[in-house]
Amino acid sequence: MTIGIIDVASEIPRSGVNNYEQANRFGKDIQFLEHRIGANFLPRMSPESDTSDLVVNAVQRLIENSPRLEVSMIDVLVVVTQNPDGSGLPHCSAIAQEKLDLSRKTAAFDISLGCSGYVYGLYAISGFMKQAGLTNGVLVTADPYSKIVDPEDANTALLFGDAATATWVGQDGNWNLGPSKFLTDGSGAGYLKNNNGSLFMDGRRVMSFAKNFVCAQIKELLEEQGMTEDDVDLFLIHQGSRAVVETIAEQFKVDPAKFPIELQLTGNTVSSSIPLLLESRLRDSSLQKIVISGFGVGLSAASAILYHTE
Amino acid sequence: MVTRQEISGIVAACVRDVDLQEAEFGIPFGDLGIDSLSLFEVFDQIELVTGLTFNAEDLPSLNSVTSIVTFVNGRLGESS
Repeated sequence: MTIGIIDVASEIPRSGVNNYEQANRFGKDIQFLEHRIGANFLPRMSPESDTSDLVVNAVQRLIENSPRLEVSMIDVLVVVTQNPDGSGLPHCSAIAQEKLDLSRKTAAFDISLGCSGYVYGLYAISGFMKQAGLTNGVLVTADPYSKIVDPEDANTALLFGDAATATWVGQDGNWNLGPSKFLTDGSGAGYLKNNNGSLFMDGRRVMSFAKNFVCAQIKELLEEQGMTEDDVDLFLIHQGSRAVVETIAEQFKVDPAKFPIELQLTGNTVSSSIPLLLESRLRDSSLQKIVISGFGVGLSAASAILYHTE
Repeated sequence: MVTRQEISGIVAACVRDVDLQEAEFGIPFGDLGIDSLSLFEVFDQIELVTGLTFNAEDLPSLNSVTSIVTFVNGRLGESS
């Protein structure tokens, strides 16, 4: 049984923060904001909503966009988040199950990962489905960092935006999951963490991790498959910031245009950034082999090759 | 101990199109068009060369060649 990606939908809050105004308040110039951060607007979940509402909205978008998918067909719901409703007990996916009126036979669980969470999540849900003999799964990324970002911390307040995505995973997908690699370095745990409800990030350490370990992971993945950078149509890199994607792209010889940067209107949406890039490219028949790579909290990183089935 | 010339050399090696003159060693990097993200690699290199470790909280005040030299030599002096 081959499990792949069938469709992706997103939920991006319409209200948010004008990042130009924020940058001005922090004494950062437009050049820095546009060319290094890369985000002009940071979506914010409404104060009345919670993470499970983002989950629900993303799944409902997926169902609206995918005529072949009905709520009753969903066998498993996985939510990637580290900012769930309340304390995370009960898990966010259980709360969403009830709100979505999914069957009680639905398996629902959360995965506690940040920016590497989509790649980890794809392989976790597909492995779960294969082993349990399930047909249709929905992988949701919903990690609203607005819950923990300190608006007075320029290191993080200029970066993160709220968003959610829902990926329909099952047989007869457009994209099959290929080889993958995973990495965990807990010695870097202190570089990106929740300090009593407030996000702390040592951006330098995270950038260094991305430049040194993430690039090596991608190259190793390709080499083991007998592939070169030229064999890859696109590298969909976690949109941590314009600077980090460019830093990674510089470590490769191929055209930087193969490393799309599209966070102007979303900021860093944590585990949603890769599926947001995928959403608009799923049916692009000119794309046959894509590398996806997410990295961050943990520290952790995960990279994989996706193959277009058509 | 490190000298201002050594630190400015590291800056020149790590930040594109920058070659600071002595008169600029005391000027904040921001005023010289060098942003905080560009300095990440500078601090990585200084750590390699000196064996020191910078904490995230240290960095905002290390905003010129002179301030870096003062800080680094102070820490090296403490550890010797």
